[in-house]
Amino acid sequence: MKCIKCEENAVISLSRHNAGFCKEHFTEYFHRQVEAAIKEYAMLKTSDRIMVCVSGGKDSLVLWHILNLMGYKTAGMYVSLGIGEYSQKSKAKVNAFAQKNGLDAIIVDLDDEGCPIPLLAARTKRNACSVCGQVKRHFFNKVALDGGFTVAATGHNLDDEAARLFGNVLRWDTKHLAKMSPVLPEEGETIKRKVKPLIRLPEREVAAYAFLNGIDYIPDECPKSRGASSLKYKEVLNELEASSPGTKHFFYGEFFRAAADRFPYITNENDEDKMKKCIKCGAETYLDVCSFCRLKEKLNG
Amino acid sequence: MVTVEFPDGTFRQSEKNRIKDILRDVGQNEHAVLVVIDGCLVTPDICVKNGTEIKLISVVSGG
Ligand code: SF4
Ligand SMILES: [Zn+2]
Ligand SMILES: [Zn+2]
Repeated sequence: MKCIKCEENAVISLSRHNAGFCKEHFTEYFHRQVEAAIKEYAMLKTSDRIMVCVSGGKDSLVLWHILNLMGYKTAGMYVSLGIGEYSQKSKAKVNAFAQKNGLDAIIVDLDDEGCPIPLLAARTKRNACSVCGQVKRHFFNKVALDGGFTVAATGHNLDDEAARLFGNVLRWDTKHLAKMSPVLPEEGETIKRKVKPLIRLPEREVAAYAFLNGIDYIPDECPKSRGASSLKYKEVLNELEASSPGTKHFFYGEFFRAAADRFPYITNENDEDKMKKCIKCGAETYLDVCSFCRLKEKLNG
Repeated sequence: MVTVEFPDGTFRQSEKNRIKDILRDVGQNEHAVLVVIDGCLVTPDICVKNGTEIKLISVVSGG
């Protein structure tokens, strides 16, 4: 297969376009897709200070790389979860990427905070991923507020979002269907605008971009993700994609044109005046002590 | 015979010679992997010679 732009040998084929690209033209195409997503959803302003939530995986490091190339003001924010070798390796990748590109990485280490995810999950008898989500949200909000960031960007790609949409539709989970937009508005002081600039790109293309542009990421997945239903949904969607190229783009993209308005996003704006500051850590909360500090108390209880 | 190295470091052999057929032969969806030969990415339509070693990179992130 030849590149449709220059007749060089293609390094990647895009079956939904029935086309191939060489490295140079694939990189150009990839950047255009990110720019188009940012523009279509008015995700970012040049004045923004962007906190890029990084995990050491391909998606978040590719996102950080591109936003930096585009001239945005960025810093990486990484939460080391205390999940053995996986956390050590992924932290090393984030630090190496930041150093190589002369960028700032803000690192929160849950081992140092005394609350690694496996310990929190065991003590609260909760699923590791649900505790993890809550703890990451707490630190993302806290770092964004303390660091004066105006927006938080995550590396979710088309497959992540199509799989999430698929899961939400299977369960008719209207609460989460209302939160499918790749831009979520800020709420209160703490919760910043959240954006997902890679949503037009399937993860195969994100991985190809990382490979071709020498972005060194951790290929291993978090060991707690084994058996996650999102992996099954991705597999099913890839099966459909193989027989009908373009299925994932259509399924995800058409949701916003055909159905998203039935599931309006409800902000907590009316409740904002009820918000106070956590007496322990200063985070915004409806109660005297925020949910993260209450979680931590269980470690001592 | 073509040798396929999986993302987890295990190996399998295939008697096919077009990448698309090799992937199907070893039970991989072409949307879930990238194929590398001698450090270069290749597209599923190309044919490879007997004795070639191909390496698969998983593209699916979990969680
Ligand atoms: S898979 Fe790992 S990183 Fe993802 S939510 Fe679960 S514990 Fe956290
Ligand atoms: Zn080209
Ligand atoms: Zn608190």
